Amino acid sequence: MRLFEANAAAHEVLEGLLMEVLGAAVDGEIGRARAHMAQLREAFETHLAVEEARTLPLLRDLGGPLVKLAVIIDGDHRIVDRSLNAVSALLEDVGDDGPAARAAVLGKIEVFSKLKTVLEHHGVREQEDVYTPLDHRFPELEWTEELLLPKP
Amino acid sequence: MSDYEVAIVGAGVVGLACAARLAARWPGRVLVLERHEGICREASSRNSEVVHAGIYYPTGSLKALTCVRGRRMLVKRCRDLGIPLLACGKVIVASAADQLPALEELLAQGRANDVEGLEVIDAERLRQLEPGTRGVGALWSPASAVVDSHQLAASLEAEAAHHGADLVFGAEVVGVEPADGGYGLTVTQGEETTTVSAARVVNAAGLGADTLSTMVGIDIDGAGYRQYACKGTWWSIAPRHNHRLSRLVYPVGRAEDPGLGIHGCFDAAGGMRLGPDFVFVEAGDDGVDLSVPEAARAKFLAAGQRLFPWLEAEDLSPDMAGLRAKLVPAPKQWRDFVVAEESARGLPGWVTLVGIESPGLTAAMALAEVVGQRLSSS
Repeated sequence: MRLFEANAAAHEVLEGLLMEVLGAAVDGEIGRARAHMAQLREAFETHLAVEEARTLPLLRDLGGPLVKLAVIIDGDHRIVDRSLNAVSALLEDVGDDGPAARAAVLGKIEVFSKLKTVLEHHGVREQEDVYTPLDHRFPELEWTEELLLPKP
Repeated sequence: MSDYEVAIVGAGVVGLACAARLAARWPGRVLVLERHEGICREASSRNSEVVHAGIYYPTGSLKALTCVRGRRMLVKRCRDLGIPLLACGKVIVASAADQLPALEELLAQGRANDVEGLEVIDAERLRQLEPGTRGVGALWSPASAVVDSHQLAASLEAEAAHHGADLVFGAEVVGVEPADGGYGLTVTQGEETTTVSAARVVNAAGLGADTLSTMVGIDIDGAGYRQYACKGTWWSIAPRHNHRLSRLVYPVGRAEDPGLGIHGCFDAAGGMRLGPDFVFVEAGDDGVDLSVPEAARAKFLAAGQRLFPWLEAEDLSPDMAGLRAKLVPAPKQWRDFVVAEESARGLPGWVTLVGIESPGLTAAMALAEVVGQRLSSS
């Protein structure tokens, strides 16, 4: 699979998993929400590894305004990371499955909104300004497992 | 040693611009405290998203300087980062012959402020530019635009995060004490109260900036920092008129208009609005009422019909309201932005921003530059 096609698909996976987390949480099914949250965290870490191994260095190497774009993409990743932590902490705090947990989630729904908003903005930004132009410029780049290896 | 080099109070667009700039100077040492649960929840998200060219303000004022420079910085940022920006321009329309001299005055003021591309046009040229607008002449400002302010703010937040700034939401500053070489801020977050220290503080708290000034011991009346909330409401125009305008349409300010005058603007999707009006308000127990009063319909219809003869009463629907932080309690009085480093009051490293009303969105990045300069000289 082409690298940037895979990255775009990864965004769809992240947004889909967030909806699973949110759906379970507002139903008061906290155990299920935590399980989806673990999947979401893992999917994000995988995506982040690929972006840091290939996308961000490419943007920096291309120079000009793309260096600034790399700053913003990296900043988005940090905000997603913090927002994921905030959602995880909330799911730990609200207790076990049931109406009380559901009410606690609804009372803190802004925590989910923040993550949803930043994922959506980030996805649009990368699709329009990064993946499409880079895919056009570097059609030979492929997604490989090696991208996930720890950096030296 | 303080917990942070800089604490910024307020995550509106100006606070975020400060965070992006100062976090690059002090990576990992900048804290942003925001009492709401997200960025840009007050004036920064309740405005017309117009990028102003810098025409109206006295030459050499901070409003003029930061608007003109801030617009250039904003346009470059939007271009570099793909942030939606409608480079639509704006016409300031004279509805009657006795308003034509005012266009020449605005032209001279704008040129003195270094605004690009200004031109007085006649009624025929106005009809070519905006066929649905009534007027006997206009000032054409090609530099005016509309920006997606949410994406702009999100990019500033991301830049601050890249440089390791900590942004804490739902965190309200309730007390300030001078501490060793800086300031101790008492912060409530939910049920918890904590104290955090910073060597420098940027008060970018918008409508709450005068309250924060009082907390640190500034006499806000003596300093001229007391702010007055001025409500502005917008009415949306029926979707059947979407895309009817391709440029922003403002009236020439009339003697009886307290602000720039109710104008026609639009969003990226072409949806049109009229606004804002200008009403000083006081907060009740539940804060300020941000509803759009039905009683204002006639005022908006009259203002709209002066510019747009096709507008009918049933075209208007209440849209939204926002608050301006003004340093004067009445219309037709002018005050500049205040960006002050407070060493002279015995508060070194404390920077106050008050009166950051329009063109604050346009000026945000230039204001952050000024804040950086003030901190460098402290």
